[in-house]
Amino acid sequence: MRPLLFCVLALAGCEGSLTGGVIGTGRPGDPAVESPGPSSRLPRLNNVEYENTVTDLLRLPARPNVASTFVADSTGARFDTNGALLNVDSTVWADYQRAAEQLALAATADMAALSRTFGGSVPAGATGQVTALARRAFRRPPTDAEVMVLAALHGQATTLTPNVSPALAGPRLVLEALLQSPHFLYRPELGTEVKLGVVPLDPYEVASRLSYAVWRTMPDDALFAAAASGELGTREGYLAQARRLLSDPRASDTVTSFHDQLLQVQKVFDVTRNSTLFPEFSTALRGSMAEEQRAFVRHVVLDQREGVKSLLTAPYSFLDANTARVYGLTGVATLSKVSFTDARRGGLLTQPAFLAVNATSTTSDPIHRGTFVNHSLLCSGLPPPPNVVPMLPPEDPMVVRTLRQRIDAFTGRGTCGEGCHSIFINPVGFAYEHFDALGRWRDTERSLPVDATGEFMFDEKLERFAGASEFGAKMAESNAAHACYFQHWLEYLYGRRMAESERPLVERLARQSRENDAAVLTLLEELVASDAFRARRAEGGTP
Amino acid sequence: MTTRLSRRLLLKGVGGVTLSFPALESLLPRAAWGQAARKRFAIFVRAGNGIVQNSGGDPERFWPEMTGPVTTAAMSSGANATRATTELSSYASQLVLIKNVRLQFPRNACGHAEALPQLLTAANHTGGTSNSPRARGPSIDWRIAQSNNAAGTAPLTFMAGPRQTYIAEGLSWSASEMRTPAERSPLNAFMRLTGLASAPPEVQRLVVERRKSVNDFVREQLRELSGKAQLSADDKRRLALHLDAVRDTELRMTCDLDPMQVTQVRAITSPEGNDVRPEVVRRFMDVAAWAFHCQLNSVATLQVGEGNDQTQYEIGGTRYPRFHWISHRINSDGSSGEPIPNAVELHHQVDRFQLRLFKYLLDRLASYPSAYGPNLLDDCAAVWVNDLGNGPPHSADNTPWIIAGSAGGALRTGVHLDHQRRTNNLVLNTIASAVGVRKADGSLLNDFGDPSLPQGVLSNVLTVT
Repeated sequence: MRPLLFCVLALAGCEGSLTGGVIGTGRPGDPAVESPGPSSRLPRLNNVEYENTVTDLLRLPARPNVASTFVADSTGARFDTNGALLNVDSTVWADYQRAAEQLALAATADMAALSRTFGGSVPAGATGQVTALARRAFRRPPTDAEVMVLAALHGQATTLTPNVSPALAGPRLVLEALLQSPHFLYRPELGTEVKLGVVPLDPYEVASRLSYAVWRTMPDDALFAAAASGELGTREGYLAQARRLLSDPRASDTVTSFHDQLLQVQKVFDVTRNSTLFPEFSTALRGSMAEEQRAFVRHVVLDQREGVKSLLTAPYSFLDANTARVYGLTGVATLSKVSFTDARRGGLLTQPAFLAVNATSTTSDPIHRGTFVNHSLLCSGLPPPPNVVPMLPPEDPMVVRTLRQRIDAFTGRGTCGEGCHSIFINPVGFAYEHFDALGRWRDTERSLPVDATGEFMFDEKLERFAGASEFGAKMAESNAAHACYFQHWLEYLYGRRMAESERPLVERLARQSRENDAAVLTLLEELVASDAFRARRAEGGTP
Repeated sequence: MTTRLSRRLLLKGVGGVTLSFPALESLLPRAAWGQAARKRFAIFVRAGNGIVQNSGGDPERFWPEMTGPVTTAAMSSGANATRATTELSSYASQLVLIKNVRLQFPRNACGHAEALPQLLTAANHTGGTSNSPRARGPSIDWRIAQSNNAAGTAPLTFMAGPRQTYIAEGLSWSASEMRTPAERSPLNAFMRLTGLASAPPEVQRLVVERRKSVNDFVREQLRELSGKAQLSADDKRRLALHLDAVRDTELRMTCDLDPMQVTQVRAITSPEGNDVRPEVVRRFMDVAAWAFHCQLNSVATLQVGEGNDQTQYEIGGTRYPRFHWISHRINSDGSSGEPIPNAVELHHQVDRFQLRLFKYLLDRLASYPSAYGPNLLDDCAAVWVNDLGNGPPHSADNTPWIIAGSAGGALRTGVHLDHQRRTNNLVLNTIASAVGVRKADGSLLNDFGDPSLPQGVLSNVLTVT
C-alpha cells in the first residue's frame, strides 16, 4: 500500500491566494499561475457522458441505454473526452430529439416516476418545477428569463398533449426541452473576468469540469451544494471535493476507460489466431485478455494506490482459465491474482492483450510493438516514415533466420531504415521477442534461440537490457515514461491536447512519480487541482 | 421536362411502396421542395483492398477488354465475361467505367489509412497509420449536400463494418480534419430518417406542434449563446451547425419504406458482425434509395468494410479468408506469412461479389419511379469505387471508378474510359457538376479538392456546360 504521506506531500504548499477562487500556487519560484492551454467554451457531452448524465439527471434506477443507438462519437483524438471536437449536425440532432422524447416520457410515465425524477417530492407549480429541473439539467441555477420561458412552455403542455394528465404533461414537455437545450448538451464556460491572466471558472463551471473529468457525469448533490455554498471557492473545500470524487467507486470507470483508450484494449476483440498453431486461442480468450489488463490496472491504481512503476513492472497479473493457458499455467479457474515465480513477465506490456494486439496472425510483430511503445508510452515523437515503405522480403527457404534477424537485415544499422528502426523501434520491439503472436513465452523461434537483448536511449542515456522485464524496469526509471503517462492523463481529464505552457506541470508530476513512486491517484489529484484545470485561457473573443 | 411535379402526385401509384400522406407538407417552406430544379442524387459505395486488374503483376480480371462504348452484349461475352465488371452488364448503357484514376497524395505509412481520406476529398492528409490520417479538406458528399440538401441536412454516412477496428470510417469529411462518424446500423439510420413515419395524421400534427415549441426554445438559446463575444470562431461555427440541424428537423416528412424491407432492416440486431456484412450493405442501400425517393436526402456514402476490409466473405457457399489477407496473398495483415493458395482468383471473386452488391443498389434505385426519366436511377450518379488499385503493392495510382445513372441526363453513359493516371478531383468535379453543384458564378464545379491539383471536369462525359 502506498503511504498516505505521498498524498500529503503532493498537495502541500497548495495554499495560494483564494481571491476569486483558487488560482495560483503561491509556491516560491513557481509561476504565479499554471497557464492553461486553449480550450473550447462549449465542449459537447460525448455519448458516454450523455448516457451517464441522463441516468443521474432523471434519477433512473439503471442506465437507459439510449446513447448506444446514437451515431458514434468520432473525434480523431486519442481520447473520447475531447468535447470541442464533437458537433451537433442533423444526424446527431435527430438522435437527441428522439432520446429526449423517450426519456421525458419515461421520467413522467406516472406520478411515481415523476416523484422519483424530482427526488421524492414534486414541487408545486410550474415555476417550482422548471426551476428544479433546469438547475440540474443546466448544472447551474437557471436565470429568471430561462425560468419564465420554461414556465410558459409548461403552460402549453396541456394543449399540445391533450390526452396526458396535466400533472405529467407540463414536466414532460419541459424535460423534452431541457434535454435538447444547448445548456444541457454542452458544458458552457462563459465567464469573462480575467485574474492573473486567466479566466477562473465559476463554482458551477468548475464543479462540472471536475465531475465530468473524474466521473464522466454531472455533479452529484454534494458537489452542487459545495458550488452553491462557496466551498469550491476555497482551496481546502475544492480539494476535499476532488479527493471525494477520486475515491468514489465511480472514478473506477474513468481509470478503466483511460487505460482502455491509451492501450487500445478494444483491438483485442479483433484478434484471431489459427487454432492449430495456437490451441490456446478461442473467441472467449479475447474478453479474458481485456479483463486481465483491466483487473490489473484497477488493482494497481485503485486498490493498491500504486504508481507508474508498478504498472510497468509488477510481478503478477490477474488470470482466468483462458489466459492461464497462454501463460502455461494450470489450476486457475476464475479471475484471480497470480504472482510470477520467474522474471519473464512484469507489468502491462508483458500481458497478452498488448502482445497479441501488436502481432500478426502467426508471428510476433516487433515493429508494431516498438512503434506503439515509442508513440504511446514514451511520447518519443518518431519522425514520419519515408514516402514508400517497402515490405519485408519473404523468407528465404534456404536460410533459417529469426524474425529479428530478418528485420535487422532489412531495417537495422547500415540500412535505409537505420534512423528510426535501429535506434527507436527495433530495440523496443525486440525486447518482447520471447513472446509469440499470442503472448506465449518461447525460448526459440524457428529452432534458433530468441535474442531479446538490446540497448535503448532513455532520457539521453543509453541503457542495456535483456528481455521485456529488464526493459520494463529501465522504462519505469525513465522520466520519459512518467511524463508521457501524465501527459496522456492531462489530455484525458482536461479534454484537450496538452499545451506547451502545461509541460512544467507534467514534468513536475513525472518527477514525483519517478523519484517518489507517487501513486497515480495522488497525482491525478494534482492534475485536477492545477490552475490549468480550474481556469481557462482568456482567448476566443473579448474576455 | 422542367416543371416539377407535385410531390404527392409523384408518390401516387408507386407499386409496392406504402405511402402515408405528408401531414407536414403544409408546414414546410416552399423552397424546401425545389420547385424549379430537377432533383438529382449521388451515392458513393466504396470497397477496399484494391482489385485484380492488370497491375502489380496481376492479370486483367476487372475491366472490359476495350475502352470506348460498352454494351450489355459486349460486357457479357468473350473475355469480358471473365472480368468482374460483367456483373453489371445489364446496366451497360447506364454506366461510365473509368480506370486508372490516381490519388495524388503520398502514402507514407499505411496505404489503406492514407488513401481512404483522399478518395472523396482529393485533399492531402495528415499522415500516419490506423485512424490517424485525417483529410485536409471536405469530401464531395458534403459539397453536394451543401448544394442540393435542405439547409443543415448532412449527407448520409453509412459503414458496413465494426466500430472498433484498426482503420474505421474515412470516406466523409465535413471540413478539414473533421471526420464524419458513420452509422453502422441500418435500423438506426432508418429510424433517424423516418421521424414521424407511420403515425396517424392527428398524432403527427400534435407531435409537430410540440416539437416546434421545443425547437423555438432551443433555437432561442442557441442564438443567445452564438451572440456571446467570448466564444471563439470555431465554437460559433459549431453552434451554427447545431442551429441548422434544428431547422432541418422541421423539414422532415413521412414517406414509408416498403414493409418487407422494414422487416429486413429491423431483423439486423448486431450490424457490426462479420456474417451479416453483405446483408447490412444491402439494407443500407435500401435505406439510401428510399431516402432519395422520399427526398429526405440527396447524397450518401457507404463504406463496405474497414479501411483494410477484414471481412471473411461467404461466396458460393464457401467462407473465404479475411479479404485483407487475400489482398496480401498471405495469411497475414503484414508482409510475411503463409501464402494463400489461389489468392488472385479469390480476390477476383470478391471483386465480383462487391459488384453484385453494387448491382443490388442499382436494382433498388431502378425500382423507384422518377418524374423525369424511366426510374430513380436515371436521376442519380451511383458510384462504385475502390480506394486502392491492386492487391500487392496496394497502389493508389490506378483506382477504379464506376458511375451508374446519367444524373438526369447530365452524363454520357455506356462508355469505358482510361483516365490515364490523372487525379480523382477531375472525376469528383464531374460527378458533382452532373448532380447540379455549381460554383458561385454558376459555372461547373471544376476546382474541388486540393488547390495544387489541375482543375477541370471530364468534358467528354458531361453533357452540361
